Amino acid sequence: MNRIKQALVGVALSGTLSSPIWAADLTIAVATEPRSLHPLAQALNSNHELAKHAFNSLIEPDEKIRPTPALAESWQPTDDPLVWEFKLRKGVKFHNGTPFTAKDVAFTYELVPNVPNSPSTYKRRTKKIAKVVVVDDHTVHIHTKTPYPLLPRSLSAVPIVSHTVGLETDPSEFNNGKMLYGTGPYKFVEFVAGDHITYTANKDYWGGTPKWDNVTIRWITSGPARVAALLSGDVDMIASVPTTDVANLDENPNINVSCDQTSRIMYWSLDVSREYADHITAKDGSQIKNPLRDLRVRQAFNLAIDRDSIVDQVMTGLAVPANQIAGEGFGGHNPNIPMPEHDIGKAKALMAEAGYGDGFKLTIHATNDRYINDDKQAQAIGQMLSRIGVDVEVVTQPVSGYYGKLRKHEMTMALIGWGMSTGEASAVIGPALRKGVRNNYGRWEHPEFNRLIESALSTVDMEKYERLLQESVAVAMADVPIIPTHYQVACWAARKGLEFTPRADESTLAEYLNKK
Amino acid sequence: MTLYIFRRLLQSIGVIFIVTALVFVGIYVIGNPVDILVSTEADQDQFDRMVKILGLDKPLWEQFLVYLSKLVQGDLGRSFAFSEPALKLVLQRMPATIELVTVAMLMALILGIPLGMYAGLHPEKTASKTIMGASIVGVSIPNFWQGIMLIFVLAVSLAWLPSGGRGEIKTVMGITSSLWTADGWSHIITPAINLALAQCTLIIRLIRANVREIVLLDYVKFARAKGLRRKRIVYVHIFKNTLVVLITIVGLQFGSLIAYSVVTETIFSWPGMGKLIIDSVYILDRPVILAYLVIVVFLFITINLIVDLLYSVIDPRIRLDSDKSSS
Repeated sequence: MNRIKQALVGVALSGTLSSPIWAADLTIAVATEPRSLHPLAQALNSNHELAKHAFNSLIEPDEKIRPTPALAESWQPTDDPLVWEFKLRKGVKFHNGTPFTAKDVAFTYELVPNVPNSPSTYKRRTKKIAKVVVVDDHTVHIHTKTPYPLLPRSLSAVPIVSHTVGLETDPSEFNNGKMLYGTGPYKFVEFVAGDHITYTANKDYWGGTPKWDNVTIRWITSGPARVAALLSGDVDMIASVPTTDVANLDENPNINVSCDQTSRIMYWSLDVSREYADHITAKDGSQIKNPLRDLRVRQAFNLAIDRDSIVDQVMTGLAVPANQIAGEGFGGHNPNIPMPEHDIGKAKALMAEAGYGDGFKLTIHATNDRYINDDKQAQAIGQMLSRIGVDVEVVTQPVSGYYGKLRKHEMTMALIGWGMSTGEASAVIGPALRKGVRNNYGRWEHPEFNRLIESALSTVDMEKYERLLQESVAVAMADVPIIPTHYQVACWAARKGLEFTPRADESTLAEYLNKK
Repeated sequence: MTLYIFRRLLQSIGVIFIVTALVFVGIYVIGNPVDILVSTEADQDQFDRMVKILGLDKPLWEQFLVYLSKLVQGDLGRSFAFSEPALKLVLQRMPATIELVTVAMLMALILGIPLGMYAGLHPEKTASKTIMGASIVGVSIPNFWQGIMLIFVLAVSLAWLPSGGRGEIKTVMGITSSLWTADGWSHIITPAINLALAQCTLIIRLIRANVREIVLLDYVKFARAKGLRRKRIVYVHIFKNTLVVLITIVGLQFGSLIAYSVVTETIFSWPGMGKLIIDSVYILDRPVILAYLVIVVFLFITINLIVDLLYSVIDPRIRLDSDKSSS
């Protein structure tokens, strides 16, 4: 926890420093290779963090995923709740010299659902858009199908490409650099698949001269190799520091580690709908009705889980205990929800009250290659539940196939990790807890919750929206359809003299690295 | 001879057919690639649309037939994840792998042959025993750990060589390689050592065993009795006869190094095929996995063919056409 507080102080300080011009080159190593350099081809963090070097969105998320002005200087809903007005920044140029205008905005949102050969577009971010009306060169009106409070946050993930790219351009034209011109701080120089990408500063950047003259981003998949590259001085900074190396690097006087809580919530989904669950039996193996349908059993589970020990022991301190979807400082965080207290006695009493004083047999599932310490988390949860009389068998598997099984509801209690891409709680509860959505793995249904979340998502009064969202989170958490355990913490390590401002969306951006 | 090569090609087509069928069934059993490809936030519409675009909504046998009919036309499909032609992705990364494996193999041979010969000729000497002892260590160290140790010693502690990556690349005479630059060489040494050590051990042990057998054969005794100089006996009579074994092993190992240098490529972030295939298996990118396997099958068959042809050059007793009469 202390480390995180320090990091937070660091963030606060680095924000106050101005950005002088440094004649310097920078090499960064990140863990995951991009699958395409087309900024709109795939909704993946590894693609997106690269895209952000060369492209801008209308609105960009800051380190806490709060919308801040970028290519749009201001935005607000008009008197008609279906129409938003965006005032665009003037005098911005694409790297190829063409000016940025409203035309490019309209083009980009048209391209989003239609990128050729794209396996996973940003369509979800624009699907509420009915049309984009170009009012003048620097004003656009975006019409939504229904009143939509998340429009600014949704658009903050969508990089604007020049209309000169054309609708038919294949994403491979970006990989060879031909079409790779945005408005961002860095211009594309070279891309070697599997090895590195190089950018050079865009001296005409609208946000002032970029901090680095040349930026090289390398892909080093193996954690120890990434650490070695930093220690040997081959790279100036690494992302995704392996948790086992954080303490060591922190003690190294030549290395500067910065960690912070991310928007990724880890939780356990519970099958709360089926009469007979696939993976629950009585202790003698005979079939019993699904105990997880009983609120008292779910509450007992919630109390049996010792979040502090998960954070301290399993996650070696690199996590923050969670009692709800969004952590402090993120949209939809409800400060009135209490942190469930670890209380075995009370949990046992609840089990007995529900008629399961003798417990039952349960198989829980987790990935073993997707989240930090995912398999160890599952083992720990298994032990904690055994203290209230539940015999737990732990099954872990690679992520390939895991989510497919979940969506077919083939797991009864399973570990899920989810980053709030829009920086607020509806990014998770919207697609994961609403009635009938495909990621509602436990098929939880709650009319009051559904009403609240629907009305939250259909008002453009931002205060009302935040209030309704918080209420819906409170209603959901009281019914324990899922058990949140912690928020993941992400760490970066840089050589002495450099300090990275950690980002809650886990993006590694050259512009967020400062000289101390 | 032509008949021989033709038969080999037919065989490879059979192998590719079986491998393809296995991969199809295997991936089908593991799960739907779209589950992994599509963003977790995607809704059902987006999911269904993607399944359709990739042709995964059709029954498995139909997907298989479509794939085969395209394969016959030389089209290996587009990668699910990278949305680029699968063959292009694999071929793009092949030179890096071949370059690494070639350097590693040369290192192993340069070191392994003399050491193996020495240990075979003087089995009782302490030096030979040291060589053999060290070679046991060589086979037993896990490749992964060895790689990390090499990085920590050569790159971190001593700071002699870079910790990973491929370095500067140049094109000379139409061949694009990092071996044309000093920077490239500094990058290739550590990963090549990591690959070469296990191979070197294998070569030492094989040559030694082979030499010890040959030394006892009649023609060696005869040569000695004839009073030939020791140098001539060692280099002509003994060494030449170890070549058959050596070529067999180099051929086999060369193939498997190309196909499975995954671990080394991952640790040293060498942008070769191994890294690509691991990522592709992880996300069930079927076209890339298949394109890779097709290429690997052809590589193996080509290498085997070359080895067979070399046999008949080295050892006149082996004739490729003769198996017609013998079988």
